[in-house]
Amino acid sequence: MIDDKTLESILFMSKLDVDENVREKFRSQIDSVITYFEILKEVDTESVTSSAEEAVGMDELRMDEKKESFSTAILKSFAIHFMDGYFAVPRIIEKRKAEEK
Amino acid sequence: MNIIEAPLSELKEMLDNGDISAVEIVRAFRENYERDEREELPLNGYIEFFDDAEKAAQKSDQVRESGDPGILEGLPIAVKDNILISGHEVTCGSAILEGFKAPYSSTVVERLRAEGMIFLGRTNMDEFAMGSTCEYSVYGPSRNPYERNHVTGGSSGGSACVVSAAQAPVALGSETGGSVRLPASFCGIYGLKPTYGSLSRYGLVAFGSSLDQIGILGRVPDDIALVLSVAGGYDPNDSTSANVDFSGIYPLKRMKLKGKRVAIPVEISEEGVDEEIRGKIKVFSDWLTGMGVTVEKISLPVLKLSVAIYYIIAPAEASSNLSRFDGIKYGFRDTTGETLEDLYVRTRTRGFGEEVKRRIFIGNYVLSSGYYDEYYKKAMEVRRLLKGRISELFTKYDFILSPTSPVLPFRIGEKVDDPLSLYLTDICTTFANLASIPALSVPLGLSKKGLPIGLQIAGNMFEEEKLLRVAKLWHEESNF
Amino acid sequence: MVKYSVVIGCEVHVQLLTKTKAFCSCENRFGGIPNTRVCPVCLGLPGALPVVNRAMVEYAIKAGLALNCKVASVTKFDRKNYMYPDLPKGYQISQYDIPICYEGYLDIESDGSTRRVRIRRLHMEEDAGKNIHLEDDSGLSYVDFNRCGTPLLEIVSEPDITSPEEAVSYVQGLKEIMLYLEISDCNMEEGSLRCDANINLHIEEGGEVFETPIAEVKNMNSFKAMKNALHYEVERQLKEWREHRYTLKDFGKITRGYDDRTGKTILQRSKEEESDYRYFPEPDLKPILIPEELIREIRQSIGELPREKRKRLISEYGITEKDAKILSSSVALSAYFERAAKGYREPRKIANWVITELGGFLNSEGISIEECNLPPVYIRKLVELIDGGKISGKIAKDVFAEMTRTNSNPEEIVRRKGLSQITDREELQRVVKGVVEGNPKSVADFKGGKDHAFKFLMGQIMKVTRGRANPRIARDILKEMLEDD
Ligand SMILES: [Mg+2]
Ligand SMILES: [Zn+2]
Repeated sequence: MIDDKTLESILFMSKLDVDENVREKFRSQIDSVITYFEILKEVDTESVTSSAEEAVGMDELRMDEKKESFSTAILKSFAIHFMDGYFAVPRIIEKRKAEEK
Repeated sequence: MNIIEAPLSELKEMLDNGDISAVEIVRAFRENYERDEREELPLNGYIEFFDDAEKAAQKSDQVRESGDPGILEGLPIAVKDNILISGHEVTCGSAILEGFKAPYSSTVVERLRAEGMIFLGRTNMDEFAMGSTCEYSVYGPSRNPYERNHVTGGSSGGSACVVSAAQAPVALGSETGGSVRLPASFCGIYGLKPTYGSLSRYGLVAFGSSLDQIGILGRVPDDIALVLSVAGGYDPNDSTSANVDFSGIYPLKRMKLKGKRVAIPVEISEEGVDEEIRGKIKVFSDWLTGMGVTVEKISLPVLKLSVAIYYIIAPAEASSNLSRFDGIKYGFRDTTGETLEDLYVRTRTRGFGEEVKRRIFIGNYVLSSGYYDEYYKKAMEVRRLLKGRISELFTKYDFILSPTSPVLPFRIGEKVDDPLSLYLTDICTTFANLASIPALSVPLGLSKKGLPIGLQIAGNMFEEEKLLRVAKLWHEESNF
Repeated sequence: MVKYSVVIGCEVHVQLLTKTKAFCSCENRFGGIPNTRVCPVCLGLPGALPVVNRAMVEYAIKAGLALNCKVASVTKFDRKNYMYPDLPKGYQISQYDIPICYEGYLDIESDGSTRRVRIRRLHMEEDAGKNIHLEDDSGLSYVDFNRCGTPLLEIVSEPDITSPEEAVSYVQGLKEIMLYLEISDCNMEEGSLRCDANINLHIEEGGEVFETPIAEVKNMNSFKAMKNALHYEVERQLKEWREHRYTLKDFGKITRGYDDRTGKTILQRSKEEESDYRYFPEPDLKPILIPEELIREIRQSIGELPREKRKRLISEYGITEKDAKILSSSVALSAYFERAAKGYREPRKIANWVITELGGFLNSEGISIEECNLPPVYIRKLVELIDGGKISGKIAKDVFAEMTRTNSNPEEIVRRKGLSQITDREELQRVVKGVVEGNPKSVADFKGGKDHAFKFLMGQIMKVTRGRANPRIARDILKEMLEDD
């Protein structure tokens, strides 16, 4: 079973929160899936080699040639908040600073 | 001839002969869509039917008049709402992309547009293509045209729904693990998952990047071939796209089946597979045998692992791919908090649905330090093992045959709270994504209760044409 | 007295001077109007995919070879996952377990001797955008993505550096090589070269060695800042050891930021707050094969590195260390010097002309040595004219000016303008005589003991000859004449 500490730390990485009242349901759903993954444990993968066969040659890379970038009008068309040429976001306050306040 | 029921090849002919116009075609589909919208339980296949489709059709008619029509001039298509069409919203069935208008078009859309194709609208889907039923959409579930209280299958449920219900002749969908084939099967149409790399992924919102592939849904194999012939092939904007040329595959040539060899793996065609589905598969394999094909049951135990491999790799990649939805640049932003952390967590917690959250969680779990080797690395190794076995199989056989789904379409809401059992409906399809091979879902007819049943033929890498040619023979034979 | 040694390892980020960004075709350039060099790829828009810039890979191999690294035959990219507003995809495309170059070294000078700093790895990655925090009351922060996607090399050393001075010398050595290879402009103030240093102390006490917690020091924006920050850190760790005796085992690694205003480092992150980056292979990019042949080609193109060149110039031409350093900083400049000095017996003089006069000219014209059309052999000819007494050093400067203006042969200039020195005694005697006769007051002053009058008379001689009088001979004649009376 996924313990509280792991649950918290994975939620932190995921930048997600789960409501208190559905937390246990969420935990058990995830748990059943992760338990199911155990069937892979039995498989012997000793002989599996890494797949260099999919590699590409240098010729398949992009040539260093400039192409046109977006116009400001396009950026404005999808940005949540575009101001003075910048993407504006609520002032970045780190947790540490917020706690000091 | 009834426009909405006609395959693309016939619409093309009518347009060429001047019997109809592109505008008339768009209007016919729109009317059919709008008629259904007034039903008590609308199918809900489209998230948006484009208002500008008719205008595009007018332009297309002018192009035709001027004498230089494209290969697909005036032919319409519906597009899954995770494929970008410049100037139109793209939501992936999610609240987090609220109001986001695509500032560029996907390569596949560009190619179809360049040949005169008209985009009818955006189709419904499980949020970020994560689901097998099309129930996990912020726009509500799509409904199965054969039985409206049943699911369409997913995640390209909307695309399967509109094609099956004659609201579009063909549609683009996307696959990560069965997301085109499963709804095609549930809705009684054809659905092709091409080889990984056959179609550019540029402009397809990523889910599991090493598995994602745009797919095509249609009512006739030739329609799929026609779209593939234009949309497929190498794209310098997608480093994983392959150097293949599909331009000559339409119209599909007849195939000599005699002497071909087909394998039916018992692991995905017997245990746990619905009796009625097994019966229909038997009909199909008897037909093949009658055509001089050798059909053999084989055992490939690694197939039993494909769901586990898939549900590690796909969420792992997804957890990273979906990090960009953070409320900073575009889409939805929740500003009720104070810190940057609050902005992220609140935006994502409100913006993503339950299934997406589960998958992001699983993905981050299997990638996190301490679990990486046990889950992600192991899954990658077993995937390579599976790929090797599949490729061995194709040295002896031309096709791998199985049901597309082990079960018949189920009722809306039936499995929505049981992710694992839902994941297991992908048992027949995911191996094709893991092995990067093409696979096609073929409609076999209806169950006693009138629900569609589908079969899956998988082929070796880049053998899409071969799959479609078999399907063409079956289509002529079955008349379904 | 605590006996201790300082242990430092450096992580250096270098921005590459490719024309376009690492994974998209947007222009790669410093500064400019914000958010004007952005596209779906570098903004991380849904559906956008990266495509590897070939020049980035070649530059990385070049840098790796210059740093004596091995080059991987197959390399690949990985994703480093963390979320920050300047990182639009929520992950950075980087390299994790198979860096393109590994196991190299850089030799540096320290206290007059040579020390070898091993280089663990050199890998490619993309830069992030820039967050801008204004002290306004808008409650907003601003993000500029122009820099986002700029190709970077991350060069990680082993902890072989034993003092702040050595750390500076190591980074300067890297900078010299990058400049020489012309793959980066390495401007610390603009951030095209950034160094983070991992530093701790090995303290010997009672026959045991204790390690203090490693601090990763960030935000050192100049070599001076680097030196100050690391010295501060040594003192701080010593003090902390005396007071608390914390060890690496207790604390692990911490992150500290240097503040240039206060000269101190400030705690930014402790070990508990360290992120789990969840690295995994970048599925959007295939691994890249690097053929032996390409490595050979690039190796050949590098040629002699600045440090070796410097040593050779000193031993071969006998020029000063300082001049050698300047000349070896650019391939073109040292090549120019060598061509000019070829077969000449006093290369020091040539070095002086190339560095001072030619350098000054290039500077004032704002052109590079590559753009300079003056044949190197003209510099030698000019120096030879001075040697042969044909022209004075002063005239030579005028000739040089004319030479750079017209790109013509100095001998030709001297002949055409009649600038050659007057060394003929009889002719000079006539001139001196005239000057002496024309300036009786100065002559009287000189005889009355006023030495400066001699200078004045010499000046008059030069004036009359328009600077062409051989000063040594003219002086002798003037002396003779004044004493004769
Ligand atoms: Mg780095
Ligand atoms: Zn860009």
